[in-house]
Amino acid sequence: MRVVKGLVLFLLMLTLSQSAFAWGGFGHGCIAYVAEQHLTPEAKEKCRYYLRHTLPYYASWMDHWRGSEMFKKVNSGHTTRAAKGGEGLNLKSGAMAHLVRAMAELGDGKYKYLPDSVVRQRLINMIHYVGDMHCPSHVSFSKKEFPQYRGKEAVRKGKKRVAYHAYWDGSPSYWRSSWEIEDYAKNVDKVSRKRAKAYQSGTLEDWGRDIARGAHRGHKIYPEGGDFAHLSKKTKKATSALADEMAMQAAYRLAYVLNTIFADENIAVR
Amino acid sequence: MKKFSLLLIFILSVFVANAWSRKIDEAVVIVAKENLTPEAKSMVVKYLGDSYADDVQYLYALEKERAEQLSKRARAAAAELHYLHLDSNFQPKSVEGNDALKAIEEALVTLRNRNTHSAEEVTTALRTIINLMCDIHTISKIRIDGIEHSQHDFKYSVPASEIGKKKDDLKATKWSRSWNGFDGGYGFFSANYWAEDIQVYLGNRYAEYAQGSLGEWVSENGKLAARYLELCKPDGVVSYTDRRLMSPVNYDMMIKATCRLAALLNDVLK
Repeated sequence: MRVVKGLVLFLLMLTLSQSAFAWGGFGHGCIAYVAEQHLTPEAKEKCRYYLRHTLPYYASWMDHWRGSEMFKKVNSGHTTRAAKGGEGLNLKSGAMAHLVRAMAELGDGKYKYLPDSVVRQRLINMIHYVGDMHCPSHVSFSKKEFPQYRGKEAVRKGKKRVAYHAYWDGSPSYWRSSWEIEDYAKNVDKVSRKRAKAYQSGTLEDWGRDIARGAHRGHKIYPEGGDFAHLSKKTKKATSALADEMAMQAAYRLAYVLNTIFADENIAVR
Repeated sequence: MKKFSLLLIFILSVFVANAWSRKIDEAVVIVAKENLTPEAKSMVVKYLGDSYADDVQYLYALEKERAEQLSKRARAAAAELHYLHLDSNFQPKSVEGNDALKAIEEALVTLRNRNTHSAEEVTTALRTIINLMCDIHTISKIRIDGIEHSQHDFKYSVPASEIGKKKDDLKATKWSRSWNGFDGGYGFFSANYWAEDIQVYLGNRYAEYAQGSLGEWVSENGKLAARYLELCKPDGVVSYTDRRLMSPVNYDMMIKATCRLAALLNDVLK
């Protein structure tokens, strides 16, 4: 009976994790907004030319449309698998794979030879998936290697239960209910030049290692079984700090990728 | 007592329900202002000042203020001011009571003869046009003869992956709610950012969107509303994709409201 219960719980968690929206609309919108502030003028112009919208408009588009007939069959991977050992990400899986693919298709000036509609869709993918891959709960660790990450008790929020996945999805907006995207950028985007350079430098493998470290921290910080209304100051601070740090990594890296793709010199994207 | 309070809140919320949100209305006006001729702009600034923040939902604010003093019937009659009434051929219908188109036309007459009216009357006329141009472009504010318009629920299909279930399911939503906002929590967009997005989307297509006359616009809006009223029948099921498509359709109506508001004011304030 215990085995059956465990299996049901596991299946439930699996389905819930697939249905959740990384970062929620607010977090995705903020990441896209901050990224947009760090685009070069030519990258911003080209993004707006192809998108016919601002970046935040499309930040959650992949979540909104993923259940439609058009995308249902190709909708894979808003979550990225951790590499063996849990110290990096598997570049061939989930959100990370979408980024790798889009960069390969658009980079080195290749976007110029593609129909506008194709470039547009790849941009929409990147705007969303770069956010997704930086969400602590959108990194899945091997069950064998990290059994302690499974089956965590949900946080109580009034009558609701907030599971691990949903806890981090909603984290950028906690205790900031009246914020708009500009408020977020004003208060959170205080990244120094040195830090920004560190976020953007290195290879995709390096980015993956950063993200995996953040995801491990996410498991440590998560107030398992706690009451959301009575979280300690320390937990609140750690939650917002991790959410903001990873959101800023996502924003600066998204800007870097777009600036590189649309650079005049067409520098090769790594 | 609790039941009575809930009933009162429900009645008030029904009768003073806004069409689009205040932020959307404000964004519409910000972009419309950018498309005014210098002559029209100076007239608008003369009567309304530089900021439209208090003007965009002037009528709603006024009604809310008066709601407590009015009987249920009087409130319902007052709310009709926000509705566009069309006959079965999508032509404006002669209405005895309140009607959005009738109020816009009366306000236009006041603006044409502004020299014979007090500043307060001209100000009210401008506010009326600003408020009601948004309303007549909100699908749920259009009533057509021979079509059921109650604030009905309709059902739409939701894929299993979106709700963490094994099978696809049906979800009920309100007809009016589907048109009063945008999918995906765009609540974090400020009015200014909405305006920026509208400008990016609009590009240099103002003239294209501003084409036609008031009569042609309402007829066109009526045909679109009829199409969706047919699709969203209370006893039918709307596909997930069709439900999602209501969001871009609503966005396009917002662009139309923006350009047509500017076109009306440019014409009448010559």
